[in-house]
Amino acid sequence: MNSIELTEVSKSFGLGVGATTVIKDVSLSVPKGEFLVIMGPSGSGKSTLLNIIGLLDTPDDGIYKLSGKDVAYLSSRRRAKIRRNNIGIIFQNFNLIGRMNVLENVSLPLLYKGVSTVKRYERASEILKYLGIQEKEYYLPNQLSGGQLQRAAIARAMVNRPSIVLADEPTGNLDTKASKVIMAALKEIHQAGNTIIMVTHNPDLAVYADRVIKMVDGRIEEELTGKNMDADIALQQKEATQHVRTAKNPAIEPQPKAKKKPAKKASAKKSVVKKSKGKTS
Amino acid sequence: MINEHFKMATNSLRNNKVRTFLTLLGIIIGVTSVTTIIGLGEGVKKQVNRQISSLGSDIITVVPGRSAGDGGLDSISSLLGSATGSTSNLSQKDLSAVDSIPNVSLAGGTMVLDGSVTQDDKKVSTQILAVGENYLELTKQKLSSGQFFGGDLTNNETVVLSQNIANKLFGDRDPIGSSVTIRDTNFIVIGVLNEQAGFNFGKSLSNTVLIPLPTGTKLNQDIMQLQQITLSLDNPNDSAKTSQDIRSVLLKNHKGEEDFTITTQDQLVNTTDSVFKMLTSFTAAVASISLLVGGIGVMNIMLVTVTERTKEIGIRKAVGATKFQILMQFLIEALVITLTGGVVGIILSVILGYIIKAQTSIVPSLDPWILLLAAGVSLSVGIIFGTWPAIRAATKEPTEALKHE
Repeated sequence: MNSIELTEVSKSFGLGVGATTVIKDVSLSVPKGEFLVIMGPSGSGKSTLLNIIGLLDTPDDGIYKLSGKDVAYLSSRRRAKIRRNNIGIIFQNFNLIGRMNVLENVSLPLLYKGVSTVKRYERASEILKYLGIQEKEYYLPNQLSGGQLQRAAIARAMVNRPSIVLADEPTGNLDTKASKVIMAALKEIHQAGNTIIMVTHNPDLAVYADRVIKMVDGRIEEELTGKNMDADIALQQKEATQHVRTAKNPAIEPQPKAKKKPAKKASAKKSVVKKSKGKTS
Repeated sequence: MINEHFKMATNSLRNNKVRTFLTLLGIIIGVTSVTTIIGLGEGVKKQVNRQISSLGSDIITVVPGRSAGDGGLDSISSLLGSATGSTSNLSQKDLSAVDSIPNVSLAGGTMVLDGSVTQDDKKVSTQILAVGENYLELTKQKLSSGQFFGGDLTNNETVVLSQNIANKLFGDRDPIGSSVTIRDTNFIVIGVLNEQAGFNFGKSLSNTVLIPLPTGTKLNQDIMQLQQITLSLDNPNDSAKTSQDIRSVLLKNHKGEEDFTITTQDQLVNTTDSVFKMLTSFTAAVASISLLVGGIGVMNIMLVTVTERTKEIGIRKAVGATKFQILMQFLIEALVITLTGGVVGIILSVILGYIIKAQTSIVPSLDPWILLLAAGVSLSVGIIFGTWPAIRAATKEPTEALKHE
């Protein structure tokens, strides 16, 4: 029962008057097996929240219970042990070690668990096969495409069979096709019973979620589940599409027309977007 | 896990070959110089001690002048300084007095005169030692040809040449029976010394001629000024007591003034030991500066490595590495550098030892303890200079490290 329980967790950076509060009294409960998506603008504190959940960072205040145990203020050694055994992390920029081949990168978490070299590589190879990039296991990261790199990163996150997978903008550096492959992989991992917490900007990815939380200025502004969530996703997708279309207009349409009207239209639409965002929050 | 750290360290070092080589070079130079110098010191000390003990443990020497301390450099310098031809207060009376002490089996005096030996038109500057008939026996010297003073020889104008002087004056000819001139007096050559045998308290005998003590006294305006009295004992175990007896006899002769130094063989061995230890320590300390510089090089390069690999540290921590595991990874990397440098340094110093042995008369002594010491020192350098960079790596916050580009 790997449930995540955050109670009034706060985190700020810097000291004294220069201190910036990134997370303010965030309370969040994630039951085992949930696919949670955290959305929000840049600087809203979603990555910091993910780092705290992943025990890469400690909160200044509040309680963080993992499977009922208070883990927020444990020693770095015990936090490392929990990360190694229970948590897999996927980063936006893959974070593979450049001078190590894919197999070595993927098997790295098992190294710190004390697993023998042969068993490590066997398990890494097995998961790479599952993710469809076994033939690349002896390649260096710089010889792989973005999608392949992220699949390798997912393999690394999954190699120690964690019950919780944290993904920070996993498709942020990928094209649509590669994104779909990655999301399909995450979906499968979720269906296998794992808890997934994913941070993203992309409303399209919210369709995979059981629940979406939206963060603004370090607080959870909104929580969406079921129909609410579907409606919100649809709205956001529509807005995003319109935004993209209007933004693209000046480039697509002939220059003379682009000079006057489209510019106005664009600004008008943007204000609508802002307004609607304001409403939802 | 250590095995894994070792693999990671060698991989990482292989990735930066030039940098690794240059860092290694610092350690290699340091270890080679320290090991070679200690080896040389030990070698010379052993050679000197071997020569001293070749005299046997039953020898006591008395030289003029007072030693300030018990042993140390003073007693060595007073011993070596005994043959400088300076005025001395050890006389015939002293020699006879110590000869009559119960445990003393032989007593011989040595006077040192400066001068030259002439044969036809060849003249060689030399050190003239006026010695007693028991000189060869006391100093374990040997003749390569001819005979020594005393016995059935009644002629006092006789001389024994060193091999070197004999060669200079006579070339390939046999010098025995020939005549040479010393201080306007004709001497008959009766023997030639084998310089390889025996020992003359740090003085080379290659430029020496020996004449009988009475003749030497005559050449010195009939005054016997002994620069050294050498005694051999019946029972070497009583050397301390005999040394005390000699002291009291001489004090009586010198009206209570202790203007002489008595040195037993044991003291001499101890003194040379401590002198060489001091010299070796000093030179090793100077050489270890290069090891220090090498160590600083290791620290420098490890700090650069840690900075370069900050992101990697973040990744490793994110996937579950503990502080200790990161610390060990970087510490072992530093140790691999210093231990490799140590091993190469030891091999080089052994090779250098063979070269020195082949080219000079010094035989460096690279005992196992010196090689073990060198390995230990390189290990310590790795720990001392690798720990701080490793701690810096281990204490990096994972979130901060992951942001590093």
